[in-house]
Amino acid sequence: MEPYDPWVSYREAFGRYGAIRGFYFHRSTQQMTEQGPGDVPTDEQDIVLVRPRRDGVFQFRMSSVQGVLTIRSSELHIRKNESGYIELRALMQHMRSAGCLTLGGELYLFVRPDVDTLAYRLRLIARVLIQLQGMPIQTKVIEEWCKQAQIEGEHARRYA
Amino acid sequence: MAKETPRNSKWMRSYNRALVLRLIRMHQPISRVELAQRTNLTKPTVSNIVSELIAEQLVTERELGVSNGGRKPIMLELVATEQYVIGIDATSHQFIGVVADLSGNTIHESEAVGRFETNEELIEAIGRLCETLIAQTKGRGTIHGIGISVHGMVNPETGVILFAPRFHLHDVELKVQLEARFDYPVFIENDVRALASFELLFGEGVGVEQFFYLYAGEGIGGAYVLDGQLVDGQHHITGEVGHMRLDLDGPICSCGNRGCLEALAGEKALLRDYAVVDPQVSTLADLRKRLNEGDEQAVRAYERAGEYIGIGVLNTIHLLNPRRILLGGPMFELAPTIVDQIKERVEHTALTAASRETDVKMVPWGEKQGALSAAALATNSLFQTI
Repeated sequence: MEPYDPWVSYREAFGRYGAIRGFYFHRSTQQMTEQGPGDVPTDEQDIVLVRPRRDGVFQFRMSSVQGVLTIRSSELHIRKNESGYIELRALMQHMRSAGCLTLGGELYLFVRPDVDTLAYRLRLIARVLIQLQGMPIQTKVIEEWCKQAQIEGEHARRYA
Repeated sequence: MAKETPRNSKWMRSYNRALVLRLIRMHQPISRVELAQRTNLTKPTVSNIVSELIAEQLVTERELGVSNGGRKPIMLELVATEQYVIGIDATSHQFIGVVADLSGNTIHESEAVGRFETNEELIEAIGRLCETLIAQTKGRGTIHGIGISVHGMVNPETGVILFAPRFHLHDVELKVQLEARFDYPVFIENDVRALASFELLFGEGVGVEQFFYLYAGEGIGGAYVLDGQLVDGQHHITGEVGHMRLDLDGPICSCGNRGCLEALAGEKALLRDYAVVDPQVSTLADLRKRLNEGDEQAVRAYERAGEYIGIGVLNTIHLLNPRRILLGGPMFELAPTIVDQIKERVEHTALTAASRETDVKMVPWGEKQGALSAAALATNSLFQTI
């Protein structure tokens, strides 16, 4: 069996050209660091690979889910129930309103299956998108947006 | 660029009329005889067109010419008063609007903060500012059109904003919606292309059939004018010099590539680099303040940006071989030495002796420039096709 390489998976999903950035998220310390030359993730870290784009289109792929989810930033206010990603739209809408949503991107989340929950994915995506935009948003604000997004998702489902 | 072929006498008449009007604007005061010479039209044809333009109060006549022994020729000029165009700079949430005359002078101005999240809200916000500006004319004179400049990708033919990154909006049918609301033609254009349009009509592009306008500020962009017309391109991205790649392993750009000119030399990139040296400098205003104070690091950062922009200009000369390069935007205003760097680079390193003499010029930049440029879109249409 060939060794597992997220970068290969990323390139297979999104193509090999362009500037791909890697972010490691440490589950215990909640610290996110950008991958430098020679950095290898530990078992305690999950990985998000991302390539920015500037056409208002976001594409998400998760290691545990088949297919690519595409979201246009101009349609965030439309609450489409795409495979239960109301929460992701709601989160990005919060970020857009705060002016810290980047112009677009292709994200691939590699998360260990036993910690892979919706809340965790939202947190990872939010942290990476903020890093891409380069705005100093406090972690507690991001956590609050994630919480709000989940409440909105529950609400939308209950009254759908 | 393919030229339109006259299909009927009506089209021809409209074309001649626009041509005469354009020549009057460019060479005013000008006599009917000179117009006939410049256009190769017969004197009666010119006289008929001029009579129409006078009747419509677009042109006026006065006795100014130098006599060659006979009667002094009657010279023609544009009517400067009560002939208006409206321009709105909608490149940020802070809209700036002007009512301008056909010579590009501001008659009235107004600002508004646009609060919007959807296409409909953006259209409504711009529509409200249009109403305010129209009201400022108090029903006097004639409004010939509304021009709107926006950032991002625009289809000027359909007047649709394809994508406005800062607003996160796609496919905004601005022209159709505003023309349904107001009784004037509406013109939508990308902000940098609108700036080039202003130069084409009133600035350093007057009479220059081919030039390239390079904007440098937070980002870097460009617009190409060929045969006196803005070149749009098949996919509306002609002139995107900011995404010309100069370094294979350079910093990451917002477009997803590395080493784009904008990622190396745009003010946002300078801020990113400066913040590493001094984290207290976190906004463009901070950085510009440091530059004004003569801070050595800031001065060096702008100089380095100048070197990269110089390479971008050089590449543009090699690609398009324009007659003139116009440099506009806050970076050149803040650090005019960049202009000298660019000129020097072109003079020493362009491919041929002739191309080394490419005319590189800085054009003035101000807060209202965007709105005046938007107004020029409407003026431009008046002079090109009626």
